Amino acid sequence: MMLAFFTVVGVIVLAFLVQILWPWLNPVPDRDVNDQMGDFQEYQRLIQEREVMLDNLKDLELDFQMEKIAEADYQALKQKMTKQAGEIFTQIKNFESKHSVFQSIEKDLRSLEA
Amino acid sequence: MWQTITAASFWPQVGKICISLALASAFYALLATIIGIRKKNSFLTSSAKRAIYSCCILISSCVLILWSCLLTNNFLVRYVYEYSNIAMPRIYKFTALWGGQDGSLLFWVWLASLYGSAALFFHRKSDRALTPYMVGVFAVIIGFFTCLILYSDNPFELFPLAPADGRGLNPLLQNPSMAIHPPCLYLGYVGMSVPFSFAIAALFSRQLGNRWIYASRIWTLIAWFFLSIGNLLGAQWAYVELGWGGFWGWDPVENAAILPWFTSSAFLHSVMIQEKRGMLKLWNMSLITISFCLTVLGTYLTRSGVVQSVHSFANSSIGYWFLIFLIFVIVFSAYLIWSRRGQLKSKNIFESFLSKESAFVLNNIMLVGAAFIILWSTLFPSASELILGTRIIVGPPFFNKILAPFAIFLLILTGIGPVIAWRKATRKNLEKNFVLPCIFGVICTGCLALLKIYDWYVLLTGFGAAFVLTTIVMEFYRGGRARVIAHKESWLIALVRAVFRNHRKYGGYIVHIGLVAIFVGIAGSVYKQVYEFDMKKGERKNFAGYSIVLDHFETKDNANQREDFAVLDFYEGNHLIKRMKPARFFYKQPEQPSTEVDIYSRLKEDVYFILGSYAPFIGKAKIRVILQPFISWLWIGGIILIIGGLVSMLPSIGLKLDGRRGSKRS
Repeated sequence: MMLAFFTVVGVIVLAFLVQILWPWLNPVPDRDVNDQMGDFQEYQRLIQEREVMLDNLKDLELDFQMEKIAEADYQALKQKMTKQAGEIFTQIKNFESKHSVFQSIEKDLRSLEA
Repeated sequence: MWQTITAASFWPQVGKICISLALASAFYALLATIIGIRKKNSFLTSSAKRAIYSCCILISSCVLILWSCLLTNNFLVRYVYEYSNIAMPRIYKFTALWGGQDGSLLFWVWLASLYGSAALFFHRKSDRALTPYMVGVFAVIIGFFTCLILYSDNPFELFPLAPADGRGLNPLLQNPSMAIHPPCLYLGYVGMSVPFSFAIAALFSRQLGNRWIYASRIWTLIAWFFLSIGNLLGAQWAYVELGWGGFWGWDPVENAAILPWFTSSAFLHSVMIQEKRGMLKLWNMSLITISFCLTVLGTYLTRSGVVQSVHSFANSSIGYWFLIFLIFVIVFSAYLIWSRRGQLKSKNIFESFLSKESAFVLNNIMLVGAAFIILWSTLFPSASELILGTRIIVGPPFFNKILAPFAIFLLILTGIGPVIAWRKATRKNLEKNFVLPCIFGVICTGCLALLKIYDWYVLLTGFGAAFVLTTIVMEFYRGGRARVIAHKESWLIALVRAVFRNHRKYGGYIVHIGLVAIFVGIAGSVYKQVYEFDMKKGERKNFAGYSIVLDHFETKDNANQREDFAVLDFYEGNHLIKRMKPARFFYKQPEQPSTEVDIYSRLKEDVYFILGSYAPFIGKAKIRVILQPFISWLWIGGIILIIGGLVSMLPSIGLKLDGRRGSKRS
């Protein structure tokens, strides 16, 4: 019984060690913390801001259709929000074009190395 | 520590090893994530995350082992001996896992590890920058609980020799509600640790934009959902099992369970202001921290012996550890929030008092104010004992009186919030949206007055209920109509699409309908009537248009309990409605009596029968009858609230957790 017990405990401890040491045992480049982290976060922030702006515009439209807001206020707010959304769209576009340049340079370098 | 390994002690000993490894794993996760973040070492942060997954697997193994010990009557394990016995039904052997302190701590940390692993897994891509910090938060929480289990309340503690039978679970806990109520409450309590971990991660990493809000929103909703179910089931258990005819006694432990519900409800509203308008960032951060602290406080109150309650565990030394942990969390979070106050400033300002933002802020003031009053009144007896040496009890009448205005104001805000516009509501908008609800409110109040109901709380509840329901119906109608006009859809399709395209908003409205029904149920309790009869066999007693006849007594006996029933014929006029069987059960292990009520339930009212003292050999019994108007609406409201919660969150699962929604649009 003691042998069975220590075998079970040994297997559990071994499995535990393999589990936590896996990043070193199988060193695949971790995408979680990569060099382009800062860029990725900025891009993600812009995407989220765009989503919020679109949601807000959708809500504004719905509020107007449901007659919760006066037409003058609706027009003024829509203009302001559309302008803000436009700025975010431009930033995203700039980011994406810059990113695609990075990607193509990297691709060229890799093909040269090969 | 080590005993000779036998067949009975084999798996409990493995359980001990697993819990020790879980502690080591949590400690490693904390250390590895701190060093990994500082050194920007992705191997270490990844390993730390895997250590949290390990904790989850190891603690899950412990739970399975303890369940297996309970189901196989392994009385060598002290916990199994104390909370189970051979005669107990299988379902209660299963629920005994959370019936005692040691098991409930294990259950708690198991849920924390499951929540932690799920949050880290689902957000591994979308919130890469936050997850290493979240690992740290979960490592501290899991580490604290496993420490308590290992050094104070270990459910795998063994006797030198196994007793023949166990002491059995407390009879009050042998109720179907108790199979679901504690897990739901724990899922709610522990669920708060996920949004808290997001908040701390955002504070540490200084990423104080809206991302942590988007990521944690669904988790707060899940925690809130389970807290709601847990509290409703607790009320239902109190109503059916405690045999006093009430559903909420403002018991300290009940109060502790409702406190995070209030603050998380406030958060779910105020978070919309941050999302839409970039405001209340500091407030939201504080609210989620307070909600988590309240869950720890609730656990402290239940386990420390500071408060006296039917629900609390006996005085236990671990209460002090919870207090230390609570102080640590408060000081640490307060420091972090204070140090980042500059980044938590609002982007915008309130443009008008007549706006949705203002309505939500008022809602928050009411919810947090109510939570503060409940907290203060719950702690007051202990505080008075500490300062004055006399325990000054704050009873249910105090709570009812002081919280009633808050409740009414909240009910009316429930109607104002959905229809008032963001930023600035015009006079025309106010007229258009509030005239009809006010008319219906006044009509409802008038009808109640005609029925000779003059209690101010009931009248205002009637006004509020009609007001809120009208605004919600208007919202559904206008939402549907907007689609009918814009998309030329049929009414039914327009309504269904409006709900599913804005499931969060309309789910919230359904929750509000549930709340209205709950308010109606609570208001009905104002007109509760109690009758007490000393009855002889064959005797008829009349009350409120009904009558009962004591027909005979019945006794059933099984291995777990003896059941004595008084069989009553229940009449409305001369029409026999139902044969009622209120009872007294006598549990054999532990030897303890229990009152089992019988309820005749209708939408209009419940007729609630309780068997008091009785003497079958001379055919006499004391019967208590309680008429509870509209109480069924409380449970119906609960079901509607659960449906609303599901509508709000179900479509989000899988769609938003990993941030795919953004990439879909892009």
